[in-house]
Amino acid sequence: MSPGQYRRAYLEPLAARPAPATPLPALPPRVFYRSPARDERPRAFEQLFDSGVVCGHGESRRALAARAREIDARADALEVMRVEARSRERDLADALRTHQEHVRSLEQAVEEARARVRTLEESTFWRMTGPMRAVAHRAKLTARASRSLGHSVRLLPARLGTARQILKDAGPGELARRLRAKMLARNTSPSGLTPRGALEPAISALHVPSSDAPLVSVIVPTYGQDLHTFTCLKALAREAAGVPLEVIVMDDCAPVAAAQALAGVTGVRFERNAANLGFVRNCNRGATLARGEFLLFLNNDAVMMEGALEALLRVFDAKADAGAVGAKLVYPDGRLQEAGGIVWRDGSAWNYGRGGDPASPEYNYLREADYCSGACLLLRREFFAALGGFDERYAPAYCEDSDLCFKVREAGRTVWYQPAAEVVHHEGVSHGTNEAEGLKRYQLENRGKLYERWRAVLGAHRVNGVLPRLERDRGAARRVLVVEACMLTPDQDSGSVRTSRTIRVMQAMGCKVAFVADNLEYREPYVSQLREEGVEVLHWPFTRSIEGHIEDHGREYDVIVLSRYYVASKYIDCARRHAPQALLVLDTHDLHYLRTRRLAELEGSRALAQGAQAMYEQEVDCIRRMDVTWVVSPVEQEVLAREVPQARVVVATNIHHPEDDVPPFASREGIVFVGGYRHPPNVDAALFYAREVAPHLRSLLPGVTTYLIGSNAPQVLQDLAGLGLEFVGFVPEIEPWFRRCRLSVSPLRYGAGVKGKINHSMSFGLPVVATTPSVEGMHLVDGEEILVADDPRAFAEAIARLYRDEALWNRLSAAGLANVRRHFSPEAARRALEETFAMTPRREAGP
Amino acid sequence: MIDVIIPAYRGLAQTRRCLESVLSAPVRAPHEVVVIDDASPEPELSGWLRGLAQEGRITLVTHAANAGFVASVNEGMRLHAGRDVVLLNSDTEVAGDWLDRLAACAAREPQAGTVTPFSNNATIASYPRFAQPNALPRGATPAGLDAAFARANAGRSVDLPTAVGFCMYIARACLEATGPFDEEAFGRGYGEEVDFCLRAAKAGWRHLLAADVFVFHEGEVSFGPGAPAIREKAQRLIDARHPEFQPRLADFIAREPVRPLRRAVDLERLRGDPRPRLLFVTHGWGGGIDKHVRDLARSLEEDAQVLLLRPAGDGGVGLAWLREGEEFEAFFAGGPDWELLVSLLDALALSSVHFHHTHGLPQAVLDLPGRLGVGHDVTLHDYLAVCPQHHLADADGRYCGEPDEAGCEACLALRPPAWPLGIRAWRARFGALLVGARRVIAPSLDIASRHQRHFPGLAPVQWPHPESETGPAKPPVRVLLPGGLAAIKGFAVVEACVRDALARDLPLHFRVLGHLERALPQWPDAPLSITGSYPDGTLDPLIALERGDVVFFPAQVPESFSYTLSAAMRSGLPIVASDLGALPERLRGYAAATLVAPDATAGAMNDALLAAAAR
Repeated sequence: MSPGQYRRAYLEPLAARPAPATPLPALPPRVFYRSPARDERPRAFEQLFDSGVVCGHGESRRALAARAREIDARADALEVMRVEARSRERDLADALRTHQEHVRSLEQAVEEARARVRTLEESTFWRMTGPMRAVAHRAKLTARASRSLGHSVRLLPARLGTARQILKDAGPGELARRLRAKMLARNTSPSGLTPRGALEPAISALHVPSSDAPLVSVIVPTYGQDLHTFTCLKALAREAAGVPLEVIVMDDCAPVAAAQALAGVTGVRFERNAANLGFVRNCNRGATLARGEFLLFLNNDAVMMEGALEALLRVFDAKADAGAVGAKLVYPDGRLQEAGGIVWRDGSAWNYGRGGDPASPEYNYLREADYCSGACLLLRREFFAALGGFDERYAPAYCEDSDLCFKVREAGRTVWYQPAAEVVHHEGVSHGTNEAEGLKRYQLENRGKLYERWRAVLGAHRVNGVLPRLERDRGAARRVLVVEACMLTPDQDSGSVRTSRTIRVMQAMGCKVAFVADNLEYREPYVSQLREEGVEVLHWPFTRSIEGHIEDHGREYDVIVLSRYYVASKYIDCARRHAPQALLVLDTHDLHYLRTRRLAELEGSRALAQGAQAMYEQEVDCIRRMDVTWVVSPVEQEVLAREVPQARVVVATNIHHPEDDVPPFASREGIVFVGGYRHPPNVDAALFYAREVAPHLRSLLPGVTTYLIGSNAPQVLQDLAGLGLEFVGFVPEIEPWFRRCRLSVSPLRYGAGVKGKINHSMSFGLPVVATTPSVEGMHLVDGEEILVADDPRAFAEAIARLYRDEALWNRLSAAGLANVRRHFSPEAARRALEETFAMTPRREAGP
Repeated sequence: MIDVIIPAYRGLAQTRRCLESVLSAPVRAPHEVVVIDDASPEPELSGWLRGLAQEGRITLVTHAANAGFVASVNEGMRLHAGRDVVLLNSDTEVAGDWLDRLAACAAREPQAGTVTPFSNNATIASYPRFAQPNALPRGATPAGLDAAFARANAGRSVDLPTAVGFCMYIARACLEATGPFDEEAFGRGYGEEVDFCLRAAKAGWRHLLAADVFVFHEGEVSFGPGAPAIREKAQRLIDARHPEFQPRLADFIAREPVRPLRRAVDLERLRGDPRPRLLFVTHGWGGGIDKHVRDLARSLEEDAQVLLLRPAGDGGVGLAWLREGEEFEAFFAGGPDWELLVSLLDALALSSVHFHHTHGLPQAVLDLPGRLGVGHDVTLHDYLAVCPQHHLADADGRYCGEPDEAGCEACLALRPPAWPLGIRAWRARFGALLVGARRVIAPSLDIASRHQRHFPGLAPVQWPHPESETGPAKPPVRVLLPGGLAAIKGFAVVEACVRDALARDLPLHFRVLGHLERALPQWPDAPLSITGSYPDGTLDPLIALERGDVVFFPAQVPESFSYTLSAAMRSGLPIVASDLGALPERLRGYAAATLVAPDATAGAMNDALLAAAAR
């Protein structure tokens, strides 16, 4: 039949039916996905060949072709991986060879102690290369096993560069330490998401230590919910051990009196209102009954974690402008409830960080907040009274705490959010009122009142929900990101001291500073110290990579300070792309190539000279690509003016606080040498002093001891201690030594930059005897502020002269202090920062 | 207030269609239509836009110089701070209260950063077929499709790995937090929205597909040549910036969570179609039955909607929409899923069930017409109704002679049927189906009469399968090419000759006795076929077997002797050979020889071949 005939005949009896009113049945989505057939193993190649090629079955032939293409593609991919893995192996082998050569040159440099040094270095060398051998092995496995891990393998060469740099710069011991630190840093990944602050199982006997002369009066408003109140009081009792306090439980006329329900609790004052006053009036009444210097408003469903009260009080010590201080509020399941509130232009408020991880860096630095919840708020009692207490227009509750915080600012004070004070808040459990039903209404109504009252101020706030990360630091004049090689350890090295003081000066200039270590480490107590100073410390695992952070948040920064060229060079491209508006500052600390070049000259080492040349190229390249370069001395500034004329170079040197109280000559004895031995020039200087200067001193100044102070001393140095030479090692506080010793020495034979040991000594009025390399770029004149000698005997004689001549001593002491004040004080640093901030980012030429 | 931002550059007709649809759409949400004339090279387009602006119907931003797509979009988005925006390509067409539904989706879903509608041409938001450009289904209009989406998927949405740029709703908060599109990197467009979405996703914003909106998208008009290069560059850039994207996209494509939403629309359209809906039941094999079923469905395309029910492995069945360009398919496992299938078919209000075969299907398939209350047809393709072996073949594949019932039982004992029925029960089951049928269609008298023998009273209609009449083709001239065909043997000449023969529709077929140096299109795509390599010493019989009309030696280098020429000469067939090397020397005196220049054109060679064969 023809298709047309067939079609007509076929259709003839078939009529359309309208769709019925009944709906389609609900079809589970699975019906639209074919489940894989059970036994669908691909056919063997031989079968496909027989069937497709030998027997001519078209479908098999096509399947064979497809399979062959797939196998070829896989083989190609494998080949690529193989070649990549090979080249990584070569890179790693090259690196190892370089390191080995360097170790040999170091061996030459310490000829006399060769035997002991070899023992030392072989042990550290193997410790140092252990992780790298493991990495090489992993690179091979990784490339074979999976392409998805290829990313981390690709990062290896970059990391290797850093490793090589550290090795050249600071030696194998340092590299081993960093590797260990890096691994340790990764292991301590603190997540805050653990339940805490659970309700006590039952009300029992409890004594809350109270003081007759309380520092803090704690006002706990309640309305029933006695088990919560009990849990709150129990946590308070623990805090009372460290702080004299009184606790006033304000029972807002609950059906069962709190005093009755909590009859077993002693040391607490129970006050019961004759009628229900509502939260606001209840709190105000509580305040009138208090006697302490401070008032702490603490909801009865708030549980203070250990040390929270002291942490809140610390802010009043540290911040003269503190008006009110609030805590980090956490839900009982461990999620963050509020890390300081943001109030938007329309008067609505955000619990910043709600639902987040309380351990996340963004919630963990001392910060000005728009408000902190009245669930836990600390103020001076007199100040609270002067503000008129909580405004009763907000009665019975809601927004009174925000309003109070606005009044704090109106009075010229600041509201601080203190993350170190953690409080678990069983939010919404109780309100100290019997009108819980209608509360939602007050929330809306009071927000309107708040808006009306403060709309003039709110005009400067952002629109609701816009850029909360910027809005949380609304007051910041500039936002600065500082990237250092490792965590700042100011008690261990002067580089960290300089960086942390520079950060402090930036903060004094109104900057919000975020800090991150290149290895993303989290190390205590340093992280907590920085946070307490208001620095946002980024770290693993919340920050997974610095590139990632810059990519996500680069637009937030006005200035990015990258420390040391080998760290900086990794991030310039990323910063230019994702933070084009930011000024990129290279902090050289000291010019690495200059220092290495000088070591090479001192040692006459060709290998080191070559190393210095390679370093020169990289460091100078980095300087060229950055917007501003910080050096620590005018000498380095001059060198760069010659060698990199287009670079914008600012002297941002060490910062010292000149000390006015200088103990007199007569009360002092002994000589002090200070230096961290992770810095190779210090090792050289100490060895020089011990071996060549000390013998002269023994005859010139018999009975006078030189104290060698500093962390990470190599064994070879420790072994040199003996008559007139005492090895002290690490001291947590250097100040007593500077006040007790009569003079300080700086026998450095090479190095670049500014010598912290000299300025630090001088800032305490302690005179210094130093070598010529030590005083370079320090604005110091021999005989005026310092004595300079290079020959071991002359050095010893200078020491002896100064040690005995009180008039000379007094002159040098005063002149040294003046020099510090002029060139190395926070005011000097502020000028350098102002000069830096006045510059604009360079635009990269062309797309 | 929402800004609908439409960058315009080329194509007055498309832009007009787009804008007219936007301006006439019954949208309730207050919105402003912002058109960016990016220095269009078409004065009519610019003029028309100016006219609209003068009437106050649109806000027009005109560029003096071409700023590029991305810059235009950014400019549009900067225009009114605080407003949500919709970026709409100028080659789209919207319908109904499209904008209200997009905005509703953005408002409904927490953290909604962007919202994308379905479209015919929008990669992962494409319909009917996923991840490929689709024409509008025949007879469908954008408005009709949009209405079907609105009905079938009201209020439903799915998370996407990225929005699709042709029509993209962006919440202002997301835009503020994410920053504008990256003009510098994606200046001419393509990839900028992906980069944006991935940046936004990192900050926790979601990208949603509003499943109740359909926007027509013509696609690829504003790129012109150079598009693939731009696309590739953008792809590389995105991979470098967002290494997580490709795996996430691959995962999305593998999971394809949008599929049920498309299926819901498929069903909505099927139900709403005014034509009869027919269900064809068949087996899972290919062959003649499959051809017949597909041919029949195609011939009914204008008159009916055809659904196909067939086995889907593991005892399950598949239900597919048998129409070019449609993708609908659903799978039902055995057991309770069968009831789901029945209720679905019931809700689709079929006009007929047509049985072609039931191999591989559950027995219950025979009860479908009864359960659905519709008439059914049966086409007899084989003897399944008579015997589970359905070919009437014994174990060795020979005709069994149709023995008595005892003989059949013995046969079934050796080869048990798929349904556990004895021969009598089997025939009773199928007998009822046949007798109850509206029509039993037999393609030949023989098959009709064999069934009548077993089912007395059966009266099949005798309809031979429909076939288009094409007369027998005149056999072409067979050109034999003995020996492996390499470059020096004239591979390129043959390739050109084949192309010429195809282009001029010459009655030539090239037959390579041996193998090709590399792959070429072959019959039926091109008049070329191969025998494959032959063992040494078998060329003479092979030439005899192949029954060639002419033997061709297009050698491109001077041959020294050529054994294959010897074999050709022994065959006595006409020979066409290159006038080069030993060939002319050896062919001197061979009567049926034609010499051609080795570099003669393919046309000349083919003419020589035809002439030689005609001699």
